[in-house]
Amino acid sequence: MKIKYFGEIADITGQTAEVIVFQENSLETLLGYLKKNYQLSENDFYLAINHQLADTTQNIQIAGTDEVAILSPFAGG
Amino acid sequence: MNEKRHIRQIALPQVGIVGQEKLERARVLVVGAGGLGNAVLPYLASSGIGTIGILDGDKIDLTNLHRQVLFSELELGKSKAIVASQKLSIQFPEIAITPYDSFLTGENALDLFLNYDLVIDATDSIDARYLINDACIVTKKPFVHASIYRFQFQVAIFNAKGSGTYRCLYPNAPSSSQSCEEAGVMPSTVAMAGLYQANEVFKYILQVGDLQTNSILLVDTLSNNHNHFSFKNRNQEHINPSFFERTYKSILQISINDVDKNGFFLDVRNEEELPILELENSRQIPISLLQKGMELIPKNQPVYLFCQSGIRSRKAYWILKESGWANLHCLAENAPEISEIQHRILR
Repeated sequence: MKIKYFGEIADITGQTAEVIVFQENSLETLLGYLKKNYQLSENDFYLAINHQLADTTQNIQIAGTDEVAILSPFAGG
Repeated sequence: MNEKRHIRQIALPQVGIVGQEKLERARVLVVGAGGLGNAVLPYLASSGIGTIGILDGDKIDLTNLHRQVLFSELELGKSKAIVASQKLSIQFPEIAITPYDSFLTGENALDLFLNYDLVIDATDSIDARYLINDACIVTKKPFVHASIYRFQFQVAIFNAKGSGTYRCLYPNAPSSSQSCEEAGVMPSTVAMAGLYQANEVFKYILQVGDLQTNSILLVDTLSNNHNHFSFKNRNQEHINPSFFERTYKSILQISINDVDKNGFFLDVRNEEELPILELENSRQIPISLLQKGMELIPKNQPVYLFCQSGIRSRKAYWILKESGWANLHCLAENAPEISEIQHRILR
């Protein structure tokens, strides 16, 4: 699964993208990975799957071929 | 209209005389005369947009000058809105520019927005963006958003002809996010974001091209990558005038030392909560029973609300306000503090 990081999230993860092979591709696995590796909780970011913002409170499917983006609102101006 | 000044854009088939007249009739309010405002304003004005409002309560600081290019060292300490308005009026004397030397608040947002066709979000805080969004929903105005984080920026137009809003994209504010002052920014990044905003304004007014609706454009200026993230409309019916008032307008607060002697004290705590207070002209109606017990609250004298910490009294304030009580105040002090100074009131 390709994961892209934007804005402050990329500063937290220390990279703008990475490819991770999960044993099981699911929202739960992805959220668990972000929490464990970067201490990112669901309240810290928004998640897009294949450039479509996803509602993480819903049961959403993620495939290994999907491109996931982790982003957040920007404050500056 | 000075046709000659705008002849090069009138020459575009997508503009023409009809388009130029649309620009001339347009009324655009720019909220924020910082980095984004300085980028978007000269191009809105130069295109011939007939009426422009500039809202900013901030003063010009030396650290602004690298990206806020309308300002110079001669104007340090002066109002950003007024100086920007003066400079643009000299350069573009045919358009009407109104400066507002104040910050956007829940008190001024709705009245201001009603005077314009479109709002530009050129602010630098997430809270201001939610305020703009909610005021635009209430006043049914579209707004063009841009925001920056270091070398990246986001742009979209929200609430345009039924399109999604900022809350459809980002329902809640993140736990923390940095402004340009904290994170740092290059002048070119903020200028590019501002020009994307100006371009979105032109497309909206001229009704040409595809608007950045229901999709946010995220540009990374280091890689030159453009990313579009689409989002769905969410029900925003709850963002109505009453929600706006409850969320953004300040409540009338008064110290118990300054209350009217003929006032009525309303304790909205539950009966079992301590300390028990013995106040003259008072009654206890728990917040959960307020709707049922309203007839016990006088309308012809000031009503002073309190609870244990001030949260429930604020809630009660809005319940009563919406039910027709006008002379309402939340007490600055709540039960624990009132208990301490009770003897003074009874005296």
